[in-house]
Amino acid sequence: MKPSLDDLDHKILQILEEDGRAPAKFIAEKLSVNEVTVSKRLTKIIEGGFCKIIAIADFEKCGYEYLLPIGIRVQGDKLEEVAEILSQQKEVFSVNVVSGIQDIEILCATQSLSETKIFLDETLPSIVGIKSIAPAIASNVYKFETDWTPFANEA
Amino acid sequence: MKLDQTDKKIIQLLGADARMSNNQMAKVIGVTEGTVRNRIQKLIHNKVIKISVINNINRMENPSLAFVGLDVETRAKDSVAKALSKMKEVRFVSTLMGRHDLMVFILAEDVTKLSKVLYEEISSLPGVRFSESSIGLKYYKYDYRWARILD
Repeated sequence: MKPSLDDLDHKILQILEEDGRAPAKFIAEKLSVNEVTVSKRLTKIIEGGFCKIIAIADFEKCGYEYLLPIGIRVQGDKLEEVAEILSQQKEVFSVNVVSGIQDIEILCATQSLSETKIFLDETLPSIVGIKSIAPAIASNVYKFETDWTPFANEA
Repeated sequence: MKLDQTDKKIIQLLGADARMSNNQMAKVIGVTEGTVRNRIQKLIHNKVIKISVINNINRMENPSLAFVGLDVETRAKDSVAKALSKMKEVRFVSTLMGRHDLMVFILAEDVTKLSKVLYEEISSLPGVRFSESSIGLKYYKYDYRWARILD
């Protein structure tokens, strides 16, 4: 059976949602358990692949002005190959194989219009197996939550 | 806020593990602990980074992630986007240039809930004309470190 999170784990996570860098000692005091227990639980939560405690960066403030949600249609037998190649592109930060009109949905971030053009007019067309692309630029992002996401290529 | 090499290194380190202590980071980067502390404070204050707990969706029973393009009446674009942003299952909302008018990602606990959100809640919003959905089957790459930090 897969290990799961218990009450204490959830209480620790609740504190970390308020302050992800709260020291183990502080968490331990708040929950009246010892520090070693907190550290052990954190190791289980993180190494068990339940959660990650990390910093999310705002891509726009880090200089990536363009966010492109692109739909891609692929030759049937090339689906996995194309998904792999897309995952290796540095501009691409999300690659999802989907069922629907598109075969793959990707998100990529570029720093300038010229970088965007190169990606759309050169990089994508050079990938063997891509039949068509439905490109777009996200003009105004209203909501972007990442508290629940797939952990791709991990257990 | 202009980011320098120290900021970028801090963002990189915290992007891998936000539990790393200021002291450890200071040693890796080669600056003082005080610098690290100040920079982190500034980065958070200016909403360049946000320390977050990210949950693996495989902890949900049958998570269903949908990528939805919406065509809406032009004058309703803003009101539809705002209404969508209020829905719990809707994780991402953006207006688009090209392809569709709006792009939405929905994460539902199962397919039943997903279809309820799609065909009852979203299609009943005034101004929504058409939606095109793709359901996530396999995730090859999902870099949760990148997002927009809003409000």
